[in-house]
Amino acid sequence: MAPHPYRSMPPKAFWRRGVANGFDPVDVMARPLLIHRGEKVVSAGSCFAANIVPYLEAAGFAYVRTEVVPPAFGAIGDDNFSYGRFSASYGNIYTVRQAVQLIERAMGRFKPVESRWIAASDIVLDPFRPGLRYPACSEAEFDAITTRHLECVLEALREADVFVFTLGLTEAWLSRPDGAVFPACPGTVAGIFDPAMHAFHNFSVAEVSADLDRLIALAREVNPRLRFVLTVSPVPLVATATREHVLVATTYSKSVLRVAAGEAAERHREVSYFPAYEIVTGPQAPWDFYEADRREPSRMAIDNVMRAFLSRCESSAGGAPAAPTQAEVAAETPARAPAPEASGDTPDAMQALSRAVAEALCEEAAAEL
Amino acid sequence: MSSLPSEGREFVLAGHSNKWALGTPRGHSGPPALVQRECFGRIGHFAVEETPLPRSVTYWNLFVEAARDRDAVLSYEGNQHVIGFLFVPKPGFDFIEPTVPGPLAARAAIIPRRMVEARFAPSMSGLRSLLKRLQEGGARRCLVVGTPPPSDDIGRFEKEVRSSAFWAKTFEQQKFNIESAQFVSARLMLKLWAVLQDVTEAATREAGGTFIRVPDFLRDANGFLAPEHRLRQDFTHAADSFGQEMLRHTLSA
Repeated sequence: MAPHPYRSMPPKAFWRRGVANGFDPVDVMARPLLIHRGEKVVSAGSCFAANIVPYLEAAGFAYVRTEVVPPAFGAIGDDNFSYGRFSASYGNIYTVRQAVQLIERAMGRFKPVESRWIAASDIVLDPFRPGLRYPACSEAEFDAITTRHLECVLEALREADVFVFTLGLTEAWLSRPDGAVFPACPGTVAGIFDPAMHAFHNFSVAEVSADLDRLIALAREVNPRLRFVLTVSPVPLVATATREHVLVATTYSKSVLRVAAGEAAERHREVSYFPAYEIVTGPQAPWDFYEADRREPSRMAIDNVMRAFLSRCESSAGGAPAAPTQAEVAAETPARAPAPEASGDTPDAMQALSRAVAEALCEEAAAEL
Repeated sequence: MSSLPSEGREFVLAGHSNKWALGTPRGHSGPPALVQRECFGRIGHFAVEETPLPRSVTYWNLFVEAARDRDAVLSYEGNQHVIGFLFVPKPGFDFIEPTVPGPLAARAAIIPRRMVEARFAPSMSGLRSLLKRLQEGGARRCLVVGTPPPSDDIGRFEKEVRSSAFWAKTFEQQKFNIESAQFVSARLMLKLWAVLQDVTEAATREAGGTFIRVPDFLRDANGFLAPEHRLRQDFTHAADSFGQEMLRHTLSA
């Protein structure tokens, strides 16, 4: 039989041996390690991106958090600082353009015309974080909160070694004056839709590719040692603003993102592509990888994605870390302030002691201090 | 020349620890009772109880019953800005409080003021239900007295805490390292107190009561408790001189 290139290919190169029989998500990525021992990780992206964080933390990796809920406010609710599921409280970032603009804003290079929406004299909304649970009471408060938030974005990038970014959508709503990209259409989560001010845009491969190049360049300007792991969210669009069926629009969107991510990984030595999208959406994926709405990836799907992801990471002991159990993952509580390193005292202990002191003083007041 | 206090001008006073400064007799033993005192030309009935904390159901029932056809003067909690906030892990937090201007703490998490309001809101449920009971019980007016602002000398208290055997033992019981503990700043505590006053006022108003704010003359130029009304070892309560002025101010409302 004549020699040809396929003769030397490994089993995974063949559908029958790589997928139809004995598929293991751990085999889908052959690239070098995504995260090396001791490296710190920052992440951003669509809602799927937040799923990886508790797995990374449960597996012992250092996830950078620069904007956290102060412990005294932890009891209000898990989402009380809103958007606390990432390294800083930027919330879901669905498009690459929005990520680019976030870093440009943090670097002082982009000041959106629609920097805020004033809903009432004491309600100032953030167009780029429309779901914040507690809107600012004044523009002064809005400025203080936003300035600190953007500082935290830069701190997170500076502190990290690896930036995991999950591409979510190509469809976006822009502010007409300067092209500022909103995470949600004005009027849906917050704000008021104004056709004179707001326009729909569906990004092309060329645009997403250019934006990825810009994102990588900006982030590395902040921190030259940063490496990148790109993933594409397997979560379909909740709705499309195109005239297409949402399934067709989803396929376009994910295809564009997948191509752009893959090309970026080819173009940039410091960029890797991790195939979370393929693991969840491929024909090999079981029906149970999605919930009943066929949109929300199931826990089983995320477990498989993260098992494959962690198999390409190096634990503190060397080698891939053991995949964490569900209990370990669930135990991770994002967006809480870590215990202060210097003292070893926990925030809970601090609150307990504050209470003890206050109560003791009350007792003493009664005893005629 | 003032006339004798009439029945309609009587008041009943009860509440938590700040009630002592408002004139509640100390050292009571036995079951909850009312102690009568004339204050600023009016007959006051001060609810007293042997056990300092928590107030018993009997105590509150006595207050509600005694408030029928009288003014109910209530000093309710008021230490929420200390509970949970006295010690803060680095980098801490800060927020914009319009009544306490000045720069925000460097590197602190900047949180929305509404988040602080939300933090205090659950502590108002007891106040609301008590005000409801008072009104249903026939109280003439429900006056909720503002609690004293913090002193700006928290540093002195911190020094005492760090060197006191009593506090050392308390800290040890909580497995807390006193050496590295970071105390809240006086400015942040003042801001928290200011929000607490607003939240208490809103809850009082919603429940049909009247909230009596601490007047400026009892505060220093920066809004802290005026020096002459401070206690030596206690930065969360105020001296009886503060309480008397506050009671006079309340009764004139």
